[in-house]
Amino acid sequence: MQPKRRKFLGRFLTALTWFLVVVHLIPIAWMVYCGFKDNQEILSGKIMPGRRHNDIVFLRELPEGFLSGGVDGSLSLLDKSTLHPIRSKNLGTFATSYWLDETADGPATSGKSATALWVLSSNHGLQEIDPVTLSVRRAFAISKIADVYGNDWATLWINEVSGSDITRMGDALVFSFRIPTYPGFTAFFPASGKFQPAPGYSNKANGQVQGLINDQDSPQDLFIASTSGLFKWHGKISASGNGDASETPTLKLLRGLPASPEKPCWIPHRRIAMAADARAYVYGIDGDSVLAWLDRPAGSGKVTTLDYVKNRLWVGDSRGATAWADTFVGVLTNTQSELFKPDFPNLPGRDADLTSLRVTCMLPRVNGDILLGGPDGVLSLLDGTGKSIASSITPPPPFYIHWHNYVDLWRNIDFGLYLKNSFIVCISVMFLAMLLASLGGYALARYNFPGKNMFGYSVLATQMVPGIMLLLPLYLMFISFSRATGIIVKGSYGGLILTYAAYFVPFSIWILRGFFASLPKELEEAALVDGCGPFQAFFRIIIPSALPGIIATGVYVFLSAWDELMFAWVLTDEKTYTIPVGIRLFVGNFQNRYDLMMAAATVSTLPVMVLFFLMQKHIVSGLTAGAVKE
Amino acid sequence: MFLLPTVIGMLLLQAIPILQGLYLGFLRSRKDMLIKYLSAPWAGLENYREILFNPDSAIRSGLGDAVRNTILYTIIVTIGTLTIGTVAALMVNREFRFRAAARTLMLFPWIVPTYVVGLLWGFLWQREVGLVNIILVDWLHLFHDKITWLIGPNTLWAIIIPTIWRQWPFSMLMLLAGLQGIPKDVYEAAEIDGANPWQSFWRITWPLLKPVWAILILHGLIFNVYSFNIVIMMFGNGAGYPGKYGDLLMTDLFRNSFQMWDFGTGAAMSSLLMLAMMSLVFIWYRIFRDQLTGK
Repeated sequence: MQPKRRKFLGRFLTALTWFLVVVHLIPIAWMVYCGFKDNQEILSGKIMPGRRHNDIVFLRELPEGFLSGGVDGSLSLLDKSTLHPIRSKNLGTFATSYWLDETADGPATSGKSATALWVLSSNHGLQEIDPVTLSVRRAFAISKIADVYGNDWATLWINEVSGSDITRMGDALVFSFRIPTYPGFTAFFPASGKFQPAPGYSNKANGQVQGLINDQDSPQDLFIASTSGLFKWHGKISASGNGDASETPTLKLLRGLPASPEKPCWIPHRRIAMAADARAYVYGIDGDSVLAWLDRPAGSGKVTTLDYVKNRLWVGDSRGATAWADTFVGVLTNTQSELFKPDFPNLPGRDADLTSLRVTCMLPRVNGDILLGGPDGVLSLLDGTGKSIASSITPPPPFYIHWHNYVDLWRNIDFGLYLKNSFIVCISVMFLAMLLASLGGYALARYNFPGKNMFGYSVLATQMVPGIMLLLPLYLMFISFSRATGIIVKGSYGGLILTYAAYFVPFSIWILRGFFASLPKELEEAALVDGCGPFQAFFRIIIPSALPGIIATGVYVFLSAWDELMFAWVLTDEKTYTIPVGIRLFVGNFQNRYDLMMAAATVSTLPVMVLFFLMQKHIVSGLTAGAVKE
Repeated sequence: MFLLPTVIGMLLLQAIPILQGLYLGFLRSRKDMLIKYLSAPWAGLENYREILFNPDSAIRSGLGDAVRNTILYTIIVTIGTLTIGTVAALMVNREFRFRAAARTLMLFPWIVPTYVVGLLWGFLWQREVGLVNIILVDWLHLFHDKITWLIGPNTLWAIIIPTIWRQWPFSMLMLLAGLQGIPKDVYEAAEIDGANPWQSFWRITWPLLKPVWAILILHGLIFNVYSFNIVIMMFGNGAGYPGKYGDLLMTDLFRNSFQMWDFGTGAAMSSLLMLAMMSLVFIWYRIFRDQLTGK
């Protein structure tokens, strides 16, 4: 063959080899990758991690500039005339809500100055932010909130929290997460930094909290918009008086309004504006009745935000922001409205026709201007006639790695326990099986005894027995043994370890026999001459010289035990579930949570991968030596 | 003396259970009788008759499918594993840069536990969100519509391909060890004698690899007939009945025993399976005897 052609062929084969390697590894790479993805991204078939939506949900005016906050924790302080960000920060939070502590006095025209910005999120808990420098002053992790509830708050799936709400009530901040498993709402005392469960309301009995709003006239009243209606919670929240009977709060379901109100907004004269489905309405608390329905044209979409400033109620939806003159006084009629269309900038890479008009947050200013925030961080400032003054985009959020899949896995499933069980079982099995197998293998390799061949063949024959053939009688054996003696075997570590050991010993004997046979006979002869007993010779001389083979076989047994599902399924219970059983149960309980499944798969592969890498040389040489020598 | 602990352990946890298992096959050990352990009513050959000769029996339904699928599965997986393994071993046996890295990377899937393989591929095969359909349909446009992998006749492929994916690296490892045992000068001598690469493969490599093949075939036979984890994790959200096109013997047996709690027929079926396996191994030994015991 021509040398040139041969060289080309070699290159081609090398390239082909690497291609095969890459294709071969795609599933594993995909597994690890999806473990860090958001389940919604997976379910919508997205390959690349999308940037997260940073719809603006919070806008306030400070003397220094506008403060905007996104649902993903992107904060910006914006210049008041150009809307250009003066300072930006991304907190990487989920389902974020904000509360700004403002000083009581200040020039009304340029916004009150603020003392603290509170950021509540499902992954980072509560954070206190300096509203001007945007630096974090204090942070209270989500686990601190969970601690307050102890066992009542069993699970919090970060991915499934659809939102949160926080508001102030006297000394305390009260907040809740929008997820059915959240206990109710929680109080936080900024002065002491303590959390406390707010009594008298539970998500389980009263419906999931959708929004919280404080009665500005009477600070002891809190209105809770929940999935089953609007509640009036009356009570005093103080840091000490949790157990005081005189302060037992009262809870009253307000009548005469549609179910599942959202986005409550306080209006003077004891009224609350709310949204339900696609409708917005004003409710009078004292009269227990709806005062007015805001008649929006079809196709306006969901009400995204409500705000009230200077006798006008502002409603945000997919058309823009509509201002309604305050004529909601006991008449169920339509009122005059005026539509402001935002002039959002076109997002890079998006068709101009698709530029959204959806307003997700708005800030009507006292001077008649209105600042509108939209999806993906777009902003638009309009004057009182609807003319655009400025528009801008806040910096896009960074790509986000979903570490919290692993947090979820650890906190909500007993994954730590499964891992521990698997390690206990596999390591014990490894040692036990190696002890028995090296004794047996050594005897087979060195000694002649009656029935040696018989023993050797029966060891091989056990490999042909289906595992279930062992499992059926063992199951019955364990149960009747427990009934007879009272010692629980099924569901204990011991039962499983013994079973596994018995299952893996024959195979190990056969492999180790080869290793022992390859050792020179002179080794133990020398030891015996030196005055060692046969056992001493075995443990002092033989085992160390055959160690590479024993390690290889032991690791192989460990890997096999780690991978065993059928025996573990039947012979374990809640306390001793190993990883395969735990994952199987988890898969049954949480269908379509591919993010968590892949995270679990990654976690359970990692230990064996690491083990393999540490022992790679031993395993490869050990296994191939056995096979090739045969 | 050395054997004592091992023999006792094996007697207690291997021999006795296996004998009991054989005995259980002759008992009517159903749900309510389980507690009686070995004193369940004697059934004689009734269980075997149910399995083998009663076409209307509830146990029989699905058993035929399971047998057929297991046979197909074992044959295709073994052939696929050996073919890819041989090709890969030959490819990696050449000299090129980062050869060791390529070999290690190829071994990766073999370390992935089988239950993870089932879980992972169950996700990859998904119709809408699975990577396989994304690549085949959305990127390469090989098919018009997304393919349903986990329902219908495709299920058999859905379990065969992951098994091959996981097992060929092992074949490659073994065959590579066999290849490296062949001294280089044999090939050089052959080349001097004017043999082309094709001839030297058939004349030199092939005969030397035969014993390794024999071992691998046996390994594949035992491993694949008793395959359980992949199917059970891939279907039915971990509870899994894979449907008539994907059911294997072990999953069928397991369901029959631990979900319908019919240990008698379960044990009878296992005994039959064991018998079949032993005869297969015997045939295997007859075929490869020459290769295994000094050529």
